[in-house]
Amino acid sequence: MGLWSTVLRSWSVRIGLLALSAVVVVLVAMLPEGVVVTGEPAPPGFMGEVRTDATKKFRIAPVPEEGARFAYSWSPAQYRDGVAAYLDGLFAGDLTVQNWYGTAQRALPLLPLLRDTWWLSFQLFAAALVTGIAAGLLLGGLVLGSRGARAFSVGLSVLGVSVPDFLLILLGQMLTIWSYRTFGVRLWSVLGVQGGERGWVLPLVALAIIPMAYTARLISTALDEAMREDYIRTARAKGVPELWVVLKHAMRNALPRALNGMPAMLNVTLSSQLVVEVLTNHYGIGSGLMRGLSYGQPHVVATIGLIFCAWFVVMDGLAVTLRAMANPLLKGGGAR
Amino acid sequence: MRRLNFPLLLGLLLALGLVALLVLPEVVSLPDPHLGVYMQMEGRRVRLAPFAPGEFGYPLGSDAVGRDVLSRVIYGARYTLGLAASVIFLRVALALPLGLRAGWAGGRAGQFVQTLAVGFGSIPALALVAMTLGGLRWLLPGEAGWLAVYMAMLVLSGAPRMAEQVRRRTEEILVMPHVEAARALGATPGRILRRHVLPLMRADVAVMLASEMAWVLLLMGQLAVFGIYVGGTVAVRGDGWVRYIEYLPEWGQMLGANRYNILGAPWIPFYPGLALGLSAACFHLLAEGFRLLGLRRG
Repeated sequence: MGLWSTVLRSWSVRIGLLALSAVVVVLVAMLPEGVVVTGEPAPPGFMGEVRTDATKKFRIAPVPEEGARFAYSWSPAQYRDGVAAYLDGLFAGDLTVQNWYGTAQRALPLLPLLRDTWWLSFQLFAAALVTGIAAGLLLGGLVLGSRGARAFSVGLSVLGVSVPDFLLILLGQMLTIWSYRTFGVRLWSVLGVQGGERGWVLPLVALAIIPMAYTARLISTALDEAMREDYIRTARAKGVPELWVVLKHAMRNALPRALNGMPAMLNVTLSSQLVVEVLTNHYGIGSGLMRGLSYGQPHVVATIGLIFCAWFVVMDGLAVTLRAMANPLLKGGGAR
Repeated sequence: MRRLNFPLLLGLLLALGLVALLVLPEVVSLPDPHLGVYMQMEGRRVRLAPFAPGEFGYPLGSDAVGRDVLSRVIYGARYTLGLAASVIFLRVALALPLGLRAGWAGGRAGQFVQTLAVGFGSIPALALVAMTLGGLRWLLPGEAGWLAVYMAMLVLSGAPRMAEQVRRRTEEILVMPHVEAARALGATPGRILRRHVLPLMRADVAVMLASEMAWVLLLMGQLAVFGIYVGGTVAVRGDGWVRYIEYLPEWGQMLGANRYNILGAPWIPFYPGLALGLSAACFHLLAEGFRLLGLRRG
């Protein structure tokens, strides 16, 4: 199969998946539209209350039968109308949202807001990806150095993949709070984009860790294998300088192999972006999704879901295209 | 010289810590994790909860109604790890037979498992589960219904991927000579899968279990950040004050419900987050260690 037919086939599969995901996302996100409150409303998970004298120790225990206070029903007709109204609004481009960041109750057009929100997310994502991949290439390259450098490279990349994003952010926030309280030094802001340039440091670092660790692992494995090949021995025998051997021969052949891991890396990075944005108060689509879920705005959740699916599919498709273009078997258009 | 399996060593060390957390309440007398006190006297000064680490005998501080964070983190290991282990058990119960069956039968069954895995992989698990649970939460009365759907979503978000891994490995093993010999001797499909395929998958299953446990814990933590967790909320009222707090000492819930305290009382979300993060890291490291061990043994 040739290069372009492989690329076209992978894009058509992804567009099909996007269409399927879009249908699922809209149908699931709009479920609350069918909810009809038939009695005293209570938030989900509410288990009752404890009355206490503040100075005495008290034991908190759930009040039995409090679950019965839920008084909702779900109307398929109302749900259908809600989905239809949402789709009409989406195609007409006149969806609105209330309670957006700091805008009180005024209804604002949703799509322009989400475009700005997505742009903020994209900036963070692109910066983290570029930073992470560049750092990962350097870290992965260390595998060819001394034993200590190799251990450092492998250890850091394993830890980078293992330590969860939310823990990194919590540690970063604790560190800056501690340094501010102890020395009066603000390392970075915990207020996200409102904190100016310093507000970008923590989300950028937290999000760049994953691409860095993934790239380092992929590159180090691929370099390890490439350095054992015959053409490396030949180049060395010809007296080519070691740096040139690594950059021109080993790295060039290791990169396509490393690209195989790109889709998985993008999947994890995009997933992590949602959490990073929420925890670092970065007002991107992750925070928008959180806001839509907490304020009970299904049309916001559905639209962000659609944007997210499209973004994910485009990034995944680009990664697959790059991988196909870097595959020497496909480059010549020959059969595998 | 024997090379040190650093990830396995570190993973085992952390696993030992987790086991210690699980058994600690049986061997040491800890404060009741549900017992709180809102107001305490410091000489002639009145102090209101939350209390910082080290104050009033709280080693890791207290939460917004004076419950001991250390005790809640220790008891929380049982809920969080128990929940994650149940999810893994259900995933394996679903994915193992499905993957084996698809690997054996091939054809449409194989394609079905592949399609499921690709379909569920086309949206990141966090987005899929957060949107689904966010949409469904209003339809579920009571904690039991919510817990069931929460677990079902965690199971479904990873089971197809596991089934696909099992299917691929089964296909690899089925072409091995010992399986062909068993077939030639007339062994039934069930016997071949049980006696000749499953034993060869032990190492892969160990890696898969550890890795999936890490992903489930990670997903639970990420969902908690989105305010999606199990356990319910309790309103505690006194004279002139009210606090809405999480009930169960489950790490995800403690992190998610208290993440807004990061500036004022950072210890409340930090320690449960640390416990959850370290346990996810522990299983990631174990999976990496098992993988390395398998590679070195060939």
